[in-house]
Amino acid sequence: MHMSKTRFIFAAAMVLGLSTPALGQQVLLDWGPNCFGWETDYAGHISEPGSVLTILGRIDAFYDPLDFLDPETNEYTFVFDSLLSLGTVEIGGIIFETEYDGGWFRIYEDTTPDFEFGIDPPNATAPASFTDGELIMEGPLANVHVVLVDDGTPPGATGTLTGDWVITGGSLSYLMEDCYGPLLAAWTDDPAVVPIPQGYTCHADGKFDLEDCPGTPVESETWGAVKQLFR
Amino acid sequence: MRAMLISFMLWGAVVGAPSATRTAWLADYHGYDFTWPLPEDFTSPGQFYAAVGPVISMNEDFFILDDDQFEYTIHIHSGTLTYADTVGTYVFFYYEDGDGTISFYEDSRDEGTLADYGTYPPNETSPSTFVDGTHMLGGAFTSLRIVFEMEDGDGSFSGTINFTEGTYLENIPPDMRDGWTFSGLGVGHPPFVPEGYMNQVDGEVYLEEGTPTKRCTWGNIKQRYED
Repeated sequence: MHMSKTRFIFAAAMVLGLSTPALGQQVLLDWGPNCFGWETDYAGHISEPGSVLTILGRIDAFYDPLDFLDPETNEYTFVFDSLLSLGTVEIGGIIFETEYDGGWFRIYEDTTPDFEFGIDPPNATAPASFTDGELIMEGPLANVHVVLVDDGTPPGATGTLTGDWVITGGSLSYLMEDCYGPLLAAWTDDPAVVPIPQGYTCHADGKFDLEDCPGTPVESETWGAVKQLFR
Repeated sequence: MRAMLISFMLWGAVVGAPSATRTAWLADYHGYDFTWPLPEDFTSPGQFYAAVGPVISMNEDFFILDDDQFEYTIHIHSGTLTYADTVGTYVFFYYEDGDGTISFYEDSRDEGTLADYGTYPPNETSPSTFVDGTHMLGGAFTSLRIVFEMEDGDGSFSGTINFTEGTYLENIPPDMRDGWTFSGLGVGHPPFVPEGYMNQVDGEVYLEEGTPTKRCTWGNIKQRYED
């Protein structure tokens, strides 16, 4: 792993000089239209028990304490995988609830933007073009839950993806190790709402919120003291 | 085959060839929502639903954002509740009177007022600091549906939109001013969302792109296929 001295010093200064994020929730990262997922056994709003969900996407914005990451300069992609469906429960013929067991997220920094969904994943570019570059953060997902509503009203079937995440690894995890929070996304499986590439089964637009970082030690230092560490 | 083709084209000339519609992404946003004038009350007379927040990104085919100079915000207002319904543990709120609105704003970071959620909106800064600056684009909801699961509080909304106003309305071609928005709603309570707000919001807006039709005469069609 290569990290420029400048970024390492800056990042270290952040760890030493910044307090832990305030208790509560704040947006950590956000992604938008470039996110699609597929399942191994999904059709007509129904995810069969044992179906595995994989989601790929590109991050559009980072916030404190990751706001030094610039999506205009580098490509930041993510993968949510190993999400095991427990099966869809249909309610009233219009509500479709699916719980997923397990799951893992990975975020990559790629200096050569190349993400491409292609069709019928996995394919030559997906997930490969989403997992190239440097793995900067990863960790388990939990309590992933999808609710889809299709009552016939326009624009079509839409809903919500929720879950929880915690950072346990990756090259930048030292900044936020054991930090955790909720995941929220707008969700659809309806190509009338969002054009979904062939072979993909869903689109999600969402964010990670940062709730707390219980294990990150804090020590206030001057900039001069930080520089001395690296001389 | 040629006779069938001509017949098809004749039908097209008389009634207008079927339009192939495409969808174009417009914007991504997040924020928080609330009801007003009373908090967490959807159904009392005179109550409305609203959401405010930053615009994260917009389609550069329509808008080039300058995040260094400007702050971009969104304001969603439900209008009057038409009716509510329940299905299992889910409650549905439908707004179909056409008086709901969605708007995008551009505000100078140097000369404007930065968006501030405050607490218990509407308040001194919300939604006012989300609806100041240049009214970039705005439209009315032709329909809006909000759904909540009553036990865990999570939900979603979706609505169809007709964009009709804004300083930059002309950035959107006239045949692309109908669209929709949909959003996930995550339950929140202090300290998870600003006090007095209900949910986190994360959603996006799409436009429906219609392929324009062109009428022509039977004579024009015949000319195309005459040797």
